[in-house]
This record gives sequence, structure tokens and C-alpha cells, in this order.
Amino acid sequence: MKQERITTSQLAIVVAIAVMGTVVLSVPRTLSIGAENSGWISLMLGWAIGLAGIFLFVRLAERFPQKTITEYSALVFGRWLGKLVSLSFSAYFILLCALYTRVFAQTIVIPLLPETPISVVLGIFVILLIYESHAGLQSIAQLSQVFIVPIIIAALVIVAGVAPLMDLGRLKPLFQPGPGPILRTALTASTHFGESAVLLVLYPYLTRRSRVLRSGWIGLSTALAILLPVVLGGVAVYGHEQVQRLLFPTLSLARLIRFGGFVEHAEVLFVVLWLFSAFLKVSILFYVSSVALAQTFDIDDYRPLVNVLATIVVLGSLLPENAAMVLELTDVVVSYGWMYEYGLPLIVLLAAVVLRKEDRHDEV
Amino acid sequence: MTRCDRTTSLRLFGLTLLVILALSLGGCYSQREIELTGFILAVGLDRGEELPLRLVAQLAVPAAVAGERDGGGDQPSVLLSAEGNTISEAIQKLSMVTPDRLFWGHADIVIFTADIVEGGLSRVVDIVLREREFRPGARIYVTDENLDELLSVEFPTQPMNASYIERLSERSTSYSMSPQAMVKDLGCGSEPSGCALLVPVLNLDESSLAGMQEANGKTLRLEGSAVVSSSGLLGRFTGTETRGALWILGRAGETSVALSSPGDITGFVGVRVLRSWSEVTIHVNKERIEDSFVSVVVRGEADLTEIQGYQSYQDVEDLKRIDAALNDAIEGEVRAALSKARSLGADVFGLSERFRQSMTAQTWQDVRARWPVVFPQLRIDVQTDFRVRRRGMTT
Amino acid sequence: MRKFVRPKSLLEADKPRFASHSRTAGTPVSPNLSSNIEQIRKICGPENSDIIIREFGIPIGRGFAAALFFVEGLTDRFALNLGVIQPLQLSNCGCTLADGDDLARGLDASGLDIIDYIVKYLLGNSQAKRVTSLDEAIDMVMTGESAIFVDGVAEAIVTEVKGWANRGIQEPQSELTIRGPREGFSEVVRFNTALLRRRIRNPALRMDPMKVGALSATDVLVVYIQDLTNERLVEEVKRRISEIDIDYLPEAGYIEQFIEDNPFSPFPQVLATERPDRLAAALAEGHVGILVDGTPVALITPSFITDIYEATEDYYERFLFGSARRLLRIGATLLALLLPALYIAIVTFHQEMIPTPLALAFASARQRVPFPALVEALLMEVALELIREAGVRLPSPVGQTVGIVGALLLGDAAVQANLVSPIMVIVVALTGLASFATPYHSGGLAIRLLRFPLMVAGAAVGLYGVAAGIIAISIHLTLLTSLGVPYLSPFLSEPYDYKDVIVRAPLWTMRFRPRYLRPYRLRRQAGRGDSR
Repeated sequence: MKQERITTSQLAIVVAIAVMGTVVLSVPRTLSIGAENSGWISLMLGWAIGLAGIFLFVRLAERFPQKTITEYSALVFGRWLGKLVSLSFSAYFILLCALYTRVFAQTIVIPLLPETPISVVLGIFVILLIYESHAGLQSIAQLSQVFIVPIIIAALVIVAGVAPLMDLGRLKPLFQPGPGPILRTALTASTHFGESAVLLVLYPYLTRRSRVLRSGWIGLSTALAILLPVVLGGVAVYGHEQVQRLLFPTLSLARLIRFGGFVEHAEVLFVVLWLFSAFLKVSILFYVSSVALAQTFDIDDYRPLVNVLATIVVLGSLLPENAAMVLELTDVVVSYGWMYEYGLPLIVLLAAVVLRKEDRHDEV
Repeated sequence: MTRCDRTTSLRLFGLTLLVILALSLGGCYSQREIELTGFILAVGLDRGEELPLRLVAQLAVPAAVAGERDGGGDQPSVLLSAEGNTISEAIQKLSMVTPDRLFWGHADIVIFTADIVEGGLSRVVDIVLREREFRPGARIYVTDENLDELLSVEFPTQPMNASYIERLSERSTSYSMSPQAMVKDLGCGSEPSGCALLVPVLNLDESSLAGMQEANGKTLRLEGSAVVSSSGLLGRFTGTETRGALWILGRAGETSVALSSPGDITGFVGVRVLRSWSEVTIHVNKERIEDSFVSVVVRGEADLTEIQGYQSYQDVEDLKRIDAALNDAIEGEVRAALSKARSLGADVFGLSERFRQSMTAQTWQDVRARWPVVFPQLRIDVQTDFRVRRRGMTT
Repeated sequence: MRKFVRPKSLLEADKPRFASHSRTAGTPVSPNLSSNIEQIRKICGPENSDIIIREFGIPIGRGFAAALFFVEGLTDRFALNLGVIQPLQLSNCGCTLADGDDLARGLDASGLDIIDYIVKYLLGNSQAKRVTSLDEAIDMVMTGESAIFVDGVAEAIVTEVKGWANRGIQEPQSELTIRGPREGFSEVVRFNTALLRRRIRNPALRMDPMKVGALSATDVLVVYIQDLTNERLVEEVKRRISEIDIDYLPEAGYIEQFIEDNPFSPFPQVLATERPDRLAAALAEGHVGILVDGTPVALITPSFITDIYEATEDYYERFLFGSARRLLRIGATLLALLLPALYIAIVTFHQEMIPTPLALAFASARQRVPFPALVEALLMEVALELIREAGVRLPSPVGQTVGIVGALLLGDAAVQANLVSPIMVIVVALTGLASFATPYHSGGLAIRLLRFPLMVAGAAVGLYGVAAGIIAISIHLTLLTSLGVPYLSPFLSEPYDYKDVIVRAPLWTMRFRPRYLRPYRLRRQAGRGDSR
């Protein structure tokens, strides 16, 4: 069954993209709303939580190296309760997919195609998504591997481009909002890092099971290395009060860049580059949820499900009526997502330890 | 190659075709052909006669700008104007008279009349930040003149008004007699912390262009600045006061200073400052914010450009005297700028932001309320350290 | 496999297909010379003009009647005259006929028969083989050998006298270089193997022969280096070639199209080259080569996306310039693929990206053009492709006319007629120039073809469309394999393989062969500090 294979280095890249794929545009805003100018501290704390999360995921996966979370949750909890757990897991990622698809479409429409109906953008996106899902995990991994380089370069170019406009004094005083908001925002940030829970499904597809923890951590750190300068840059250039009002602070940063008076409105180029990373992120989440769902219903191949699921994602993404609603919904999901992302694997792991369930039979 | 592989590849090929088809069926909603686009190069905002806002837009005539091919057009740009309650309404009205779809993405110049600034800018700034077509990096100016007249002045070497203003702005900023301000900076003016923005003043000038009979013989002059805050127009800085403020902000470029008879020299001495740095340190007194003080240190390097009155040779002592005179002159400008800012109650130096950064949020809430009182009384120590490094080709 | 669908009536009248070429177990050679000749005339036709049967006598002993069977034009006349006929006819020089009988008896006594005697003592040729199957003899004669039949012996001697007109070794026209060998492959596969063997003088260089085509019986050689190239690759190539069941094999392109992994992909999954040095270098890296008789094109497989922009000169120039030129070519490839699409997208959707003076220039230039940008671009691109297509096959004196016509069409005349804007002319010219810079012709074809859907996408939804197109192409590329090896392998491999992907690192740093080819010997240079 598990013919598709990814290497550990590909896993690191996939984790990095799953974490920062879409949020790189908006993360300065969400963090500034929660923790004012100390958003970057929250981000670091969130990253630390994410590292612990990866540790948890890997410990759990190591108990059942040949199985995905849907398969071993049935083993741990029994058939029906297990199915419920895996269904919820799949549903959570579908929800994220739908949300990020909407965010994607909106981000394309606002700066690139203001007069185009969102359904056109969504239509093209979903066809690409179906194509990519049929192509499978290997294709996603390879694509991530190829595109992560320009994505990283783009993020760094934005930050470097606005460096002369930065006033790092705006980050002072440290810990301005006090520990409460910073910690609360750290949990929000940890939701982004917690999307590395895709690992729970991807683990059995690894070619080698050594140093998985390390590559997961590398993935998270790569994401941090991209997000941190963006958050710092956003606040240092605009100040946290103005960042809170900007829909895509990173794009607003890019708007300030002029390449020697030659290319203007460079943000368009960055939207295009961001588009690759957002597409890959949604592909990863979508792949994970469709595999999880297929296994929940004991279907051998997830591919027949793809078209149906893609339709659900599109319809779901069209549910919010306006941009403000999308924003609110995102905030809600991001504020509470960490409970699910870390809570569920923790419960499964505890149950497995208590019930002494494991299946370390491994053949690679 | 197995049969199974072939069907897979065929199916994937079909999917690829589907993608391409979907792309082409996507429709052309946001499409606009470039030749049907009316490029707006400069925008002016004034108080209207009937409605609160009057929008003046300078529309480029591409054939006249680019077209030497057909002997060139007559006018490279035309002015359109309309009034409205909102800017969008005015834009709407403009669209009713122009055949092209007006495009604001190239408007790099935004001019406000003093009139409209006095009413507060917050209501006109929002559209520029919200609407994606406008450039947040567009330069802003304040003028006392009639917008229509201002936006139709041309200069022999710069046949387009917009590029004339743009070049002027680039040149005169480097001479430091007027600041540069962008649309996005106006966001600061809308903060209630008392932050104020220096906006360059662009006016007409009739004196400088000698022997120009054609047109109306007028040129533009960019000098001095207007102090703009959320509450409106706080006042004006003259050219030298502006330069004084730029010294403090560390944004002064290459600029000339005339010193009158320093030391033994009888005539004037011309010095060109090449570069300067500033260092603003705040010393906060937590107990009594009124006892806090700010120290400003401005450093720089200069060239000796001319000395009036014969002087055979300047020795080190002479140069030191010139240095001293230069420092005195610059310190004078800085103090003039400071006292002007104090008298206007306009914190153009961003000191409030520095204070905020140095204290907790609670304390700052407290200080912010008293800031309008605190700022004019704030002790500000000025120190200048300029050196003449070179003295040209003669000794 | 795949066959053409033919009308039913024809199908009914259809004879069975030509038998496969391996007919070793066919009709045996008869001891009777005249029946052999009769049989040959029957198989080859009574008046087949280039089939020659020359009857003569061998004056040994009582004398033997013999016949020489060859194809005129495939054989070297001098080799036949001096090496075969003359020694046989003059074999009795100095002996009487009566002594001949003794000699004949003596032959029998020493256990030698006449065939042995001819092969051992008389025949002046380097290669000779004894065959007992008439069909095999005929097959070999068809490849340019000659067969000697002797009356009374149920065996034939097939001896090598190949020699036919060929154009010799010339500079490869499709892959010119400034630096590097000027030799190119030619149509004769034996010359080509020689060119290869001269570069790899090691018995490990294997050239396993296969025959493809029942009618053409074309020699196909699978070339690889034993104990270096992964056997799974070699086996896969052989398996795919052996599955080709076709009457006529005109060119290596047939092999390519039958063995490629995804026939629907625009990207070439097999690299074709006319340069022996390129093939030799590929073999030394662990690729498998295929040589086909009758064409100067050799195939290299597996092939990767990097082959589209890599040139042999990259390695011959010093690494700084090799890298710089490779970067230039990568840029040119991207430009050829994307420039028209980006131009359309930006001009019709994202005018804010263009600097103001340029935007005004574009607007005024487009003012008199009646078409939307897409139509304008398609018009010009199709014109460019037409000029190129027309120019390919024209003899060079006429070819210049195409250039003049092209200059008119793609130049000022079109602009004057208000058909296109001058900027479009520049865009198209730049695209054309960039696509000429692609060193690999088949790869360039893929780029040229994909340009059009991207242009449509760009005109439909702007840069989003172009980006979506790029994503679709990228997904396709990740699915693509060449001989089962992922097409993007060079980009996905271990970091040290990157030394030869975007840039060409100094030669002394490239101590290992590309790992994605899974060679048996990874190291190709001695080096310090390497564990393998």
C-alpha cells in the first residue's frame, strides 16, 4: 500500500511549508494584535511549543512505525472510537484546507485581480489541487523541494529590501504588553507550528526512520527563520499599531520596495511567489486529510476521494460571506487550533502507553 | 512500460489539458488593455466650492509623451477636476468625462492645498492606504497656490509637469531645504500621540526663470515645509528651519552653508556639507517626566567651496575658525527648528515615539495625555561637531 | 503494441507480417550448389538487380564448382576481388590438376575439408564464419557480407567484405561547438562504435547488439560500461527495445518514441546527440547509450531536465565561464518560456508594475494596434515559428530570402501597418533569440510549445494564470520519469550533485558521479578527505 516514499530531508521541507505556507503574509498582523510589539517573542515561544509538539508526534509515531494515526487510533481505542478520532483528525485538516483556500483566493483577488470573481480563482486553484493530489506525495515533496528556495529568497528579499526603513526602536520596550498576552499569543503562534501534525500521517511513508525528530525540528526552524524576520520587519517598519490594521503586512512591506525605479509594485511579484508556497501548503494538508479519510473508511487508495473532498473544500471555502468574516474565522481557528493539534496526539499517546498498545514491527 | 502506466500518463495528460482549458475559460474580468488606460500621474486635493472635496488629476497623453514618431502631440498631459463628498465620488465623476479607464497606480505625486490640510487629512488618507491601486510611496506636497495652475507649469528641459515636480523633489531634497514625505507617512499624523509630519511646500515662483517669455514665465519652487498633524496644519517651517529639522533627523543631504566673515576673513565663506549624522538620546526621568531631557548630537563633514576676500593661505588655525563658524551656523539652524517646533507644539522629530519605547505601556498612557504640555517645555541640548575636511584645488 | 487501424477489407487480404529477423534455424545449406543458387534466386527474386551470384571454380584437386553471393554496393569491390575471388581462383597456382586430386585426398586424410582449407589457407579476409543455414547466410549478405558456396558441401562461408558509400566523419551540424572535438557520428554504426571506442579504450565498454525491424533488420547497439552503469538501467533499455515489434525502423527517433516513459509529455525523456564526446561523457557518468545504424543520432538515457540547457562546452571551458554561460542559458530558457506570457499578463493586468515612462510608451505604441495584446502576441509568435519552420528545409541560397521576408514581417513593416506595436516586436525577437540559445533542440521544442498555453493563461487571468501554468508544468515534471528515474532528479538529489546543476563547479570538486543514476562506482576522481 505505502508505495510512495519521501526522504527525511523532504520531510523537513514539507513540514516547513506546512507551517509557514500561507501565514507568512499575515502573521505580523495576528501576532501584533495579540502581543503588540512583542509578537516576535510569542513567535519564538510558539516555535518552542512546536518543537515539543514534534517530539510528541515522533514519540507517538515511533510506537507504530508502519501505521498512520488513523490506523493506530483504531488499535488503541477500538474500532468505533478510533474511527471517530481519525474522522475528527481528517475533518480538522479539511477545515484548515477550506479556510486556507479561501484566504488564498482572497489574497490573489485583492492585489492581483480586483475585478475577478473569487470563484474563477478558486476554480483554477482546485483543479491544480486535484491534479497535485492525484500526483501524490512524492510529487508534493519534490515540488516543495524545488520551490522552497525561491520562497525563502523572496521572504529574505522583502526583509532586506525594507531594511533601510526599519526602526528597531519600535520593538522596545520588550515585553510591553506583559506576560499574559504574550503567552496567549504564543499559543496562537503554536497553532501554526502545530500544523506539523501532518507528520502523524506522513511518518509511515518515510524511506528511513532515523533522525525524523531532527528533520522535523529543522523544518520548524526553517519556518521560524522565515517568519521571524517578517514579523520583526513588519513591526519595525510600520509599528505594531499600524500593522494591526494591515490585511497583509508582509505585502505592505513589499509595496515599499522599489528595485532601482525599474520594477514598481513589487508586491505583485511576491504574491506570485507566495502563491506557490500557499498552494503547496494546502496540497500537503489536503493530501493528509484525504489519506486519513480514506483509511478511516478502509479504502485502499485515497485517489477516488480526491474529487469529492476537493468539492467540499471549495464549497466550504465559499461559506464565509465577506473578508471580515474570513478574518474572524481564521482568528478563532488559530486561537484554539493548538488544543486539538497537540491535545489529540497527547491523548492517543497517553492511552497507548496506559493500554500498552504498540506495534513496533517495522520493515522499510 | 506497462499498460497501467500508459493509462495513468494518459489520464494525467488529460488533467493537464483540463488545467489549460480552465485557465483559458477563466474569463478576462480584470483585464484592461493598456491603450485604453488613462494614466494619472499627479493628483491634487482641494476644498471644493460646492462639495467638500475637489480632486484634480493630471492625465497623461501617451501619444504626446512618447510620440516623436508623428511629430509629437501638443500637450503631454491634461488636467481633469471634479468635486465630491468622497474621493471615490470625485473619481466617479471624472470617469464620466474620460473615454479611458482611469488608472491611479502611477500617480506618484499627491498635492494637498493648505486649505484642505487645515481641515485635517485623516478623511482623505484612508482611500490611499485601502485602495490597492494607489502607491503608498507616492510623494506628498502642500501648496498655497491654485492646483490647476501648479499642475500645468512646465520647464523647458522637463516638458512634463509630473516629471518636473519629481526631479525637483529629488534635487531639492538633496539640498536639504525641503523634506520628503510619502503618503504612507501620513498614517503617523493620524496617531493621537501628537506626532507631526514635515511635508514639503510646493509653490509657484516668478523670479528665477530669466528671459522666459513663453508660457507664463513661471516656475515651481520647492522650499520649506508645512507641519501636518491629525488635527490639521500646525504651521510652517522656512527653508533653513526645515534644514535645522533635517539635521536633527539625520536626513540632511549635501547642502551649502554660507558663513559670514569667520575669523580674520572679511567676506563670506561658502561651505558644502557632504554628509551628516545625528544622534538623539533621551534621558527619561521616571519620577517627573517634565525633568527628562533630550540631547542631540549632529556630526558631519564638509568641503570648503569659496572664500570671499583675498587670503593667501589658510593654516590649521584658519580652518579651525571656519569649523567653529560652521558649527555655530548649524547649531543656530537646529535651535531655530527646535524653537519653532516647540512654539507650534509639533513633535516633528518623533520624540514621543522614543519616549514610548523607553517606558512601560501604563506609564506611557499617562505621559501621552500630558505630552502636548510636556513637549514644548522639554529640555533639548544641542551639540554639533562638523569638520571641514577638504578645501578644493587651491591652498 | 500499437498498430495502425486499417480498413477491414484490407485486413482480410493481409498476409502475415514479415518474419522476425532471427532465422538461424531456417532452410539448411544444401550440398548441391545449383539447388542453393536456385533457392537463393527464389528467396531474393530472379531479377533483383543488386543481388549478384558469381559462379566460379576452385582449381583444387578435381576442382570444385563454387558461387560467390553478395549484394553490389554493400561490398567493397577490391576486397572481393583480391581477398576472395583471386585467392580461390588462383589456389592451384603451380599444381597440376592430377596433383590436385592428391591434394584433395590429402585434405581428407588430414581431417580438413575444403571449407576448412579455404578458410585457413586461401581466404585473404580478416573475418570469416561458417554457417549451415541458408537463411542466416542470406541475412548476413543483406548486411554487406559475402557468402561462398562450394558444390558438395552443405556449408557456406560468410566473409566480411563490407564497404559502401558513406559521407565519412563530419562535424555535427546540430551541435556545433567552438571548443571541443569536431567529430560527429555518421550513418554507419560501425564508424560510430569506433569513435566511441577511441574515447573509451577499455574492455568494460560494452556494445550489446540487438536487431529491430523485421524488414529493415536495423542494428541497434545498447552501449554501457560494465560494472559502472547500473544493470537495472541496462536491462530496462534492452527490455524496452526488445518489445519493439515493427517492420521498419528508419531512425533513432523511433526507438526514442517507443521506449520513452510518457509519450504525452512535451519534454524529451531521451537525449539525442550527434557528438561522440557527449555520449562518451554520459557513459562515463553511468548513462546508457543507444546507437542505431543508419542515423548519426545516438540516444542517451535516462535524460533529465538539465539536459535542456546543458552543453558539452560547459565542461570544456574553464569553470567560471562554463558556469556563467550555463546561467545565461538557464535565463534564456526561462525567457523563451515565460517572456511573452509575462508581457501579456503585465500589460493587460498589472500595469502598475511598469515604470511610468515605460507604461506611457507602451500605451502610445499600442494605441494604433487594433488587436488585444494576446492576439498581437500570438500573431507574432506564429509568424516567428513560421519563419523558423520555413527556413529549416530550404537550401541555403533560397534560405536567405526567408531571412529577408522574416525581417519585413517581424520588423518595421508590421509596425508601420499598425498590425503590431514595436514593443511586441522586441518581445518576440527576444523570445526567438532566447529560444535559439537552448542547446538541445528537442528540449527547445518543448519550451516553444509550452509558451503558447502560458500566453493564453496570462491573457486570461494575468500573473495568477502564468503562475498556475507554471505549477501545472511543475507537477507534470515531478510525475515524469526517464527510464524510471525521476526527471527532476538533479534538483532532488544530494547536495553534492548540485555542483553540476545550476552552475558547473570546478572539475576537481566533482569527485563523484551523479548519485541519482545509482552507478556501481560512485567515485570518479581521487580526492582527499572523502570517505567513499
